[in-house]
Amino acid sequence: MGAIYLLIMMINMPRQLASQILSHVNQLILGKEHQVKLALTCLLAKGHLLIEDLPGMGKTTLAHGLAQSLGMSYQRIQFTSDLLPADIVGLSIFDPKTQQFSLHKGPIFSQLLLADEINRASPKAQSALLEAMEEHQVSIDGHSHQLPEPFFVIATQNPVFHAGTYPLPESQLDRFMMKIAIGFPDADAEKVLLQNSTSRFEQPPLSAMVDNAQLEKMMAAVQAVHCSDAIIDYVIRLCQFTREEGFTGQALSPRASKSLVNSAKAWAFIEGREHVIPDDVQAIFISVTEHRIGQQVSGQQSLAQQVIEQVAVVAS
Amino acid sequence: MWVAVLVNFLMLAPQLSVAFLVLNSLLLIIFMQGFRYPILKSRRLVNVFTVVGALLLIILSKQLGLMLTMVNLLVFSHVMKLFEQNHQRDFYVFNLLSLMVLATAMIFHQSLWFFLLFMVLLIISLLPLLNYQRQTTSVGNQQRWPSFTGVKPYIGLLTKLLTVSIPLAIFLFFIFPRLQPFAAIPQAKMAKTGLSDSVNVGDISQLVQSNELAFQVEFASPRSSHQPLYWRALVMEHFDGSTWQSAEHSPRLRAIFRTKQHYLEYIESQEPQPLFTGNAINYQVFVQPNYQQFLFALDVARPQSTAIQRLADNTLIAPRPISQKFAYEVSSYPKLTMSPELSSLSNTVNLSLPEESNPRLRVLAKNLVEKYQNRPNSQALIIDEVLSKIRQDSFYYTLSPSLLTGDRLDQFFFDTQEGFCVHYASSFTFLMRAAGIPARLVTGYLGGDYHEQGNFYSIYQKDAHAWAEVWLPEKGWTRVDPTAAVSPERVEQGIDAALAQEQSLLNPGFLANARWLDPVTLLRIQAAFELIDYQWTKYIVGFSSKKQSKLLQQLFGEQQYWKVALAVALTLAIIFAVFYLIITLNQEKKTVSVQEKYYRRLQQLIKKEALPTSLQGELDSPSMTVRRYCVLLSLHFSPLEEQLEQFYTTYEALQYQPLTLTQSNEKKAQLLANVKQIAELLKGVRY
Repeated sequence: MGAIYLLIMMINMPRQLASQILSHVNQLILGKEHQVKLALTCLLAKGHLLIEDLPGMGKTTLAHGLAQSLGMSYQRIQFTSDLLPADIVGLSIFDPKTQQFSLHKGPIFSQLLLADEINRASPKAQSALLEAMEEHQVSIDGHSHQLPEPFFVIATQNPVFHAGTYPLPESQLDRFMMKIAIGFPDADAEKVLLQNSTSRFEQPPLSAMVDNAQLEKMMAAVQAVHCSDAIIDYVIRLCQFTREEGFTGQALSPRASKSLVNSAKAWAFIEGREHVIPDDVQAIFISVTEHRIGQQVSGQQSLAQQVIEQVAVVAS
Repeated sequence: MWVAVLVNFLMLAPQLSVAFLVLNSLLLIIFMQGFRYPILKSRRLVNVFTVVGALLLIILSKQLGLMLTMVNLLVFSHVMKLFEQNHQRDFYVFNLLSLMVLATAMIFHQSLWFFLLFMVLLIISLLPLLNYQRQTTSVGNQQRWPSFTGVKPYIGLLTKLLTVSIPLAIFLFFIFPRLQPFAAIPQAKMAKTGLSDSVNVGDISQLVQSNELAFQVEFASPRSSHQPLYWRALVMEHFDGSTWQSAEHSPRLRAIFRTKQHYLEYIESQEPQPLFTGNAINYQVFVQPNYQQFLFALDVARPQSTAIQRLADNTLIAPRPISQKFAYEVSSYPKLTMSPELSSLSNTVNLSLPEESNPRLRVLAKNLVEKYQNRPNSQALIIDEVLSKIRQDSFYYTLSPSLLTGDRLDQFFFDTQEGFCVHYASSFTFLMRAAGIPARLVTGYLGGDYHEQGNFYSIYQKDAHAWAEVWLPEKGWTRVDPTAAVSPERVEQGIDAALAQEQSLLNPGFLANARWLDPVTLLRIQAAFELIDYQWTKYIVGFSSKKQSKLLQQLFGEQQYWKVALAVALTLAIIFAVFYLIITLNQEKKTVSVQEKYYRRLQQLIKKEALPTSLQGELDSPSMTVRRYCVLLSLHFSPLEEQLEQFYTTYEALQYQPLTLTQSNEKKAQLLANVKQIAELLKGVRY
């Protein structure tokens, strides 16, 4: 009996860890359970996350909390218009003592990189980061350097105040698996927030909930979640809908459909299921596709929302 | 899997050369040990074996001939393929090879029992394929090696497949054109027991004791007379003092006639050949493979099958050595005279004797000739005298006579006076020749066991016999069996009766050991087996192209080949059409799965309810998932909450979870029960 119990524990362990991480981070950002869950989903599906919201909404706090509770090495870059690629990836510096060039690794050599206000940097600096996101390696002076595994980027950007920014082109937005907005807290959450007057720096740092091995185990468990043909057909129908004539947004790429399936798996995993159901796909659909399909016209339902409402879950 | 290899390889073992037997067994052992010691499966070792096998094959190919070389190659590659199992493709190739080896084995073994064995082997060979198919379909693309986890789950599928394929196989058996064997079946030089083309007077025949079946005969009409059946096979006209052989072996004729056929063609041109008139006995003969060319017939025989040639000495000959079961039809004319006129060559041959041998027999012949010199019918009188001498003297019929040397026939006739048919026939023929009467030795079979149920005769190797033929003016070649004079039982009741006493003394035998079965039952069982085997040979193995065309003619009329073609095409078209229909119907069924059907039923049930329009509108949205649908509903119909939750979990399990067949059947039943429950509860809510 003991052995069987242990076995069940082993199987369930990653799931329990996921809910523990969630509750951990939720202590930090109050009243944003859904957004935190989406962020964790994105990381477990091995995707990069773009957080878009107004200043002071807790973007950085979320990224920070996630990195800490996942036990990953963490670096932050504040993007500015005069940021150079070398400031991100690092550079070789001549050392007069040894008469040799020695490599000074940039902040990108970490497991989780927070790129704050990514749209403030020049396209050159942006693309240095985006290349690293895709290839998981950087080139310094003609030598390739492997980035640590796992490697995540959480980028933030400001949707308003566009003066002096370089908006990310669609092709580069596509590299982010999800884009989420945090939104204003409700009155209750804000009240609690204000009652706890301590600032982030005064709070004790969050302890790591998992080590690297456990994190990898969790990601493997996400890959093993069963995705039936019915789900895949549903995802395909969703994507086909955006590719039809008369659809005003951008069509979804196969990379987008792959991201859909992967993040639906991660969502199902966090929900505690071993198989994906259409509700999982619907839960992550808007976050995964909105930045790919395109901006909504203000005052109207977003295009991604329209897609999800018009495509039948069960093929007729 | 290696089981299939082992069995297949054993099936063909008699056809393999010794070197390959050793090599293949070695490979199999290595393969089996390889599970424990992976070093043995190394690439290099396999390569070494490949090279060794190829070299062996090259060396042996001349000795073996094309066909056997190919068989060796096939079995060798089959065993070698065990070591190369990396892809799905290899697995399929291996199984196809198994089937190929089986088909090859069928060339060599054609009896019913082997056929049944082959069916079992076929099923064994098909099992891994089924297993593999099932595993790949259930576990997705994962490459897993099939193992015999148990036959049980496949019995259903296997029976289904076999029942579908057997009618097709039978249909093709009757319709598919019979091809002439493109590669001659190996005419092995295997020494089989049976009649041989020379008869030595000194040796003890093993043949007589062999219970092996030689051939079977079915008479067209029941035999009226009970004349003993003398199945002529070979005529031997040359005697060198110890051995009888056919005429062209004599030193003088050897230079002129290269083969028996040459000699007999010449004789045919010299002698008038019979006009086949009068009463004929028609019968069909089913010969077991004996790797010889001679065939069997009674008296003056005329073959009805075109492939068979009749020779001038009234024996029949097959176009090639008989390596498969073979059937032919013959008419015999017992009233006809064999060679009413004797050609001079034939006369000389049938009077010639080895010089200065057996002086005592020569003297006896001389005396007899002098005694009856002036009597009419002197030849008949001489024959009678010799036969009565054999009958009255202390001659003794035995299968284990003393060995003879020197003037063997003299020794036998005057000293030992014990022997079997060859001794009596040889001495008699010698005496006749010495007395100036043309005589020759004929070998063949005598008698046969009659099977009442099947109305056929079985002739065994133990029925082999030798007798004499003498040429008398006006009567032609006349059969004289001196063995009949010493042992009438041999002729009238068969070899078993003649040997009954001797065997009971010498050899208790298998029958006596099996005490729990009384001999009569045993004989009956044996007869039943033989009957089945006979029918098998007659109807299945013997289904020749001639019989096939006959059948087709009966079905479709004379020479109407287009009708046959049309019928075949139509039948095949119908089969495929039905097949196609079944498949498409199945697919259409699949598009609406059971769970979707029940979900629709639930939707229809809900539609009947008076719901707020906003809720109904939300429920009808295409993006509504089953889970959300049920959750929304349970907010409205709180008593149904439990059932609705159960409904969506079951539905999701069916639609989105990997399930085994039994699990999914369970869930389907559960879902149906659930829908019914909800319907009941809804009624309760309404009233």
